[in-house]
Amino acid sequence: MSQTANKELIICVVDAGFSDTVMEAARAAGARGGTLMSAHGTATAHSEKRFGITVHPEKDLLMILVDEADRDPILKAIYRAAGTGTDANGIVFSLPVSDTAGLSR
Amino acid sequence: MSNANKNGFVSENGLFLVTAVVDRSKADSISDLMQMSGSNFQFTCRGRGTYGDDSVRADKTVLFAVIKEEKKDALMHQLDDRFRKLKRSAGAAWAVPFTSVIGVTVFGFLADTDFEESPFGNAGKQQTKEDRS
Repeated sequence: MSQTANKELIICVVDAGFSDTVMEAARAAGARGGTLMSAHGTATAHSEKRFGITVHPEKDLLMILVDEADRDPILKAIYRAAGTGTDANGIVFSLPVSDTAGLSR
Repeated sequence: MSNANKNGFVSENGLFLVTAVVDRSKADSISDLMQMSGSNFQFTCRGRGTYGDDSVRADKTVLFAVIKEEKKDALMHQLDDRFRKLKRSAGAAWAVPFTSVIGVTVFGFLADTDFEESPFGNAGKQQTKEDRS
């Protein structure tokens, strides 16, 4: 039976080249590892101007599976190290996971 | 997931997005497993593990599959079994529930369900691939 212990999926999108910054912060807060993908970001010119954010198109997207209890400290650590206002210019959020498979006990 | 419209039609076909991260060499077999389990829509992305420095990070394939709620548990069981049988660098998978889908045709495709009549306004009979065969 697949594990159903409470897990959350943290997704972090940062400017390309800052994945190490994210993972160092996440590991320090208790994450075991993640998966890195390259992505292309988009934003409307209106939104960029309104929020004073410049969207660089080349992105690193990281998916990190964590225990629910560890979610908040890891989110905060990633945000402090790589959130908006830092050089990484990242956004980070989490999704609830209903089932998992293949994770070591 | 239930999509209640003004006529009260409620779909019982909850959908889940199953994500699997595997070594690139194992991607085809996992993709086949997902299709055989009843997933009608999948897409794959290239990824990399985050363990170690750039020189040792493993190339990964990230597979995304949409599957009906009633078939999700069976797929997760099979993925769990498959990962445990792989000798090295197994894999990991997780499921996230859909909260909404826009479009009857899109929903029918993702849920692998034909609606003989529009589900909005009539209590349409849902027909599956098994019914058609």
